[in-house]
Amino acid sequence: MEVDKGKGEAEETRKVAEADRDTVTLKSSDGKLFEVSKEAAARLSTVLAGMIAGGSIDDNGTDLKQIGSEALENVVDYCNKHANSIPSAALISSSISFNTAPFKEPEEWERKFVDRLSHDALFDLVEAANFLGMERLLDVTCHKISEMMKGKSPDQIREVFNIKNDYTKEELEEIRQELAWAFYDD
Amino acid sequence: MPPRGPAKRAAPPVGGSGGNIEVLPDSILEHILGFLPSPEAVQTSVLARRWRHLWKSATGLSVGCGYTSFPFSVEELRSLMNHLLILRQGSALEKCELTFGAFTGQDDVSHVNLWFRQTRHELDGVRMHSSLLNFSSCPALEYLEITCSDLSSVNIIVSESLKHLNIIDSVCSSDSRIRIYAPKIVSLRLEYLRKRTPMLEKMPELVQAFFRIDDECSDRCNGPNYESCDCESCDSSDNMADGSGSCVLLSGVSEAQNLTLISHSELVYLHSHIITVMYYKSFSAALYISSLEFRIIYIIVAT
Repeated sequence: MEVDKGKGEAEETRKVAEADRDTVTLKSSDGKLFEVSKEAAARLSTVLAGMIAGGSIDDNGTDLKQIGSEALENVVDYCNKHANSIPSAALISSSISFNTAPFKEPEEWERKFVDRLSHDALFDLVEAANFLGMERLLDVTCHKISEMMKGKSPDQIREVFNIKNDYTKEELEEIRQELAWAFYDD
Repeated sequence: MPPRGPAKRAAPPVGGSGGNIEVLPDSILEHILGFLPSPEAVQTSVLARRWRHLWKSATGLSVGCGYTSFPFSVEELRSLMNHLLILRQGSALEKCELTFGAFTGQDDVSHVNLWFRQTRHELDGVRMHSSLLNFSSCPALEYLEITCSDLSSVNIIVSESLKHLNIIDSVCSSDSRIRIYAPKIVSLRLEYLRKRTPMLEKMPELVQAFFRIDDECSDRCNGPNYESCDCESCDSSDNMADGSGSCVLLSGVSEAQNLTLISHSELVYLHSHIITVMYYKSFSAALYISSLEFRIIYIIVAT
């Protein structure tokens, strides 16, 4: 009995220590390890929140086989930056903190964060955000991509995003006629 | 705010997918299209076969937005809206942003009501510059923002589902009050309203209320003695009698856990049957009242 009790206590202590850790370790598909604030990860990612709550976080690095190291580094970077930019309670009266709109415009640091990414890095990050259930990061990255499309002609969009036009001339003409109501600017 | 340098362009695509957006699944492309003005989203049909119908499932609608000086009239947007709604065939929307200006034609109101009905199960965000306001046909509407609007012909705003309501920088009627009937409201923001402040029906779920009152508000007392004044703005017996209220009636916020009141005038004077007098004498300062058992509050802003 004594032994069991001792063991139980030790386990208890270990569990408490684990729960007390304020970071979690994530492992990319290519085996690199990244530390991220547990609070931010749980707040920003529904998937990580579920894993943390369900105790399926591995101390030696939780495997995220679908996410490459570059994208995971960006995810972790985003979480850590987000953790540092929580508006203070004193801002409660400012108009910014009260905005409960479905989508809030990206903040200055979020803009900078996505602006520095190459197209490939941005697309990888969108997919990682989608996979991890990070609604805000998904919105910010998708919003960025939409800004890269906004105001551009179809030819320009194809060029920016490397899209191959596989329509015939006749098909294109037909679509344009069918959707004339949306091409009112021309 | 740090100075902004020259806009950084994303590095030219190298390696990987070669910057090809088509590595992304349809669901993400549809989300991206939801951030574009809707006509531009439709125009992506011509990019390539894969894009032909993606816009129909775009997760957001954005019509008439971004034209701050001259919003489109309802009539100008009619064809676009009707096409969008018919061709989308009711696919789910996360957000819907409509901006329109004048109601010029006889049928305008019925058209706009039709748009709301058609988006009813999906709509959870509307920003509008217009003057109608019965949302009982949108049972999923949760977020409503009304900015820079002329509400002088509006008598009542009704929504059984609304959770967040912001009315900012708008003109209310000068002789009757807008009644806001929205029993599910969680957060409410009224800011820079001209003429008569709206009257709030019971909002038992209210958590946060924010009111900013400036000189344009006509609910104010100009009398020299606020406590015994019987001018139109102050006469509380009259308000109680006919129930319509001629003071600023905020009975609806009685359950608010968090009430912020900011007055740009020099003095905010609060009195009610429970809270008798609270003075606040500081230019554009905030008054926080937490968890008080409000029943009825009159806020009289005096200069």
